[in-house]
Amino acid sequence: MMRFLATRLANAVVVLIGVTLITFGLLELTGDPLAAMVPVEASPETVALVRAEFALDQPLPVQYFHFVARAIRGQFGNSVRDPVNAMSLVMERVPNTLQLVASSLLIALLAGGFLGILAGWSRRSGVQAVAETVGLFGQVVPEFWLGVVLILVFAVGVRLLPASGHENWSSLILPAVTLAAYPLAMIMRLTRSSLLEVRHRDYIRAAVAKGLGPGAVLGRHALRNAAIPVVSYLGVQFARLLGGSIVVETVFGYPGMGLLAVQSISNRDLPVVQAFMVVVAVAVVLASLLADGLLAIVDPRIARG
Amino acid sequence: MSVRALDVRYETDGVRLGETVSRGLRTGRSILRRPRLAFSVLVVLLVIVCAAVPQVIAPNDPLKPDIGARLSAPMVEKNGLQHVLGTDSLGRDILSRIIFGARISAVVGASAVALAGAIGVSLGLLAGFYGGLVDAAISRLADIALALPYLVLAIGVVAVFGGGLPTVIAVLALSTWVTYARIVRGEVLAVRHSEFVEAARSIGARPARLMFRHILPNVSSSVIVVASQQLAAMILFEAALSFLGLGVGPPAPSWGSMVADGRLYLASAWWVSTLPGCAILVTVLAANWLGDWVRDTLDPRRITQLGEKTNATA
Repeated sequence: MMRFLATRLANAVVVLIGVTLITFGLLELTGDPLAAMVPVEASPETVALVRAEFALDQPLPVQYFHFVARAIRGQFGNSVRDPVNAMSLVMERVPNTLQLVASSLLIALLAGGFLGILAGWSRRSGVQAVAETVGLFGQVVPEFWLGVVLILVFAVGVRLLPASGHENWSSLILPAVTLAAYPLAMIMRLTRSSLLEVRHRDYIRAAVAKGLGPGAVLGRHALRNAAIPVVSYLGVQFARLLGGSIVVETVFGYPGMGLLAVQSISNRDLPVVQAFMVVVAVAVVLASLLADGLLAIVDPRIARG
Repeated sequence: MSVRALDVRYETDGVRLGETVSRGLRTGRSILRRPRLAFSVLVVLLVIVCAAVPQVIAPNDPLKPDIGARLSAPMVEKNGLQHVLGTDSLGRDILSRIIFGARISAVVGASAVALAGAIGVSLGLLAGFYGGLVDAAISRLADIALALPYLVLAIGVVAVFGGGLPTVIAVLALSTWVTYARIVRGEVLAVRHSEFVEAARSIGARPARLMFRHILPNVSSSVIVVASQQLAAMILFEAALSFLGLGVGPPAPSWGSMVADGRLYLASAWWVSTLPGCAILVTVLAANWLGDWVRDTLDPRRITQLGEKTNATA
């Protein structure tokens, strides 16, 4: 178990080194990193100061080590737009994005799990048809379009929910539902297919034969095994969810870090973009470590390899 | 579950390609008897035709503003139904823009799949064939690619280079090659010690020849399956990039950016945003179904999963 986690941890470090190399390389590829970091109207003294601080007069490998050293301390330089540390600008938005991602995960797990159990356990064709439609729709619908349609129906049409912003919990509903569509469909499909798979296994038949009710068979025997693919799926797909949150935040004007990053492009605010990339990579790596740990608990065979 | 299924698969590998081809032909004949497949083929053909010769099909110039007819609703009988799907805020014909927009979806979809496939297959072959350090290095590369979702990578790249067709294709390929590499690596591991590879090696074939002439043909059907399923994802991803303004960019109309443009007019002109979205939805649905069909046709182990009992346990 410890060995398993140690390997994963070492891999995570390698991944983060790779990501910092990419973000560093991007700045280098602009041709003139200095121009990207100081405002046009900056005085020669400021330019010299920044050049010294970021070691821009040194060879590339030295510059890279300076970059990593600063990245670890969250120093990506100041945002081009406001003279504020870029990292703190991004971190300010992290709670909002996490709130959005966590609520959609919750929706996806509850609704997707429920539908999946229903479809995996029941033989009624109506249930199967609903499950199939939801599964298909969630997979092919573009998030931004779903968001636009939801705004059209619930904000423009019946005026029930706000179309944008972040004032109270009601402004979280539409974005969270939009972001949940894809993982909901996938969780439903996974739960359904793994339940279908275990349903005919001997240990299920044995549990039924010894007189357990359907709830106990499902909860104690079937779902435990069906949970394995769902957990490993969530670990892998957290990255996609974070990516999707960029789109959803833009559609709903939701003040998360994705919206900040998209807006930073038009300002060519590279420090903010770099800080954003590193924060996302760290979040993805942490999520996959967490999923590995959870998997090792749910299914001890994995840790033993 | 899949490990056992894999074993079954490779025992029959030698004769499989010929079999699948003839099975493919037989299924091809029955396309019209299956509504889903017929729909998918029809939509994909339509998109291809629109992408190839949009000027022949489109009723209007997609870039020409018609100031008198700004934001006119669909199906309004004015001057003999000039704008069937209405117009946008500049009075440009939405139907024509959707038809021309197919070009970007088709070009980006096909190129991204091809480039990602080329990178992924090569790296997967190398990782599976050499194993050890090469495998470890490529696996870490894959982890790095997975740690930066395509939208995040796109934000970084566009912030530096600006958008454009090559950027979009490169970003999509660089963040999706992993899917191909994983599959190919697994399949190479399963065949690299089989007799036909050993035989070729013993008569002096070099690694490159072993990989590309002997192993690759045996994993090609999986590559085709993955590629056909990735096509839908690429079209969807391109649309999302265009929506965020990270795509090919104006003046060329693209479905994603059309949805974005219409957001300002949601309350007064619902069609500007929603109709191009329908084009995305229908195309992705068709590409998805087509991908499923290719999978079921080429990949016997997945067909059996649809039934109650699997081959592997039988």
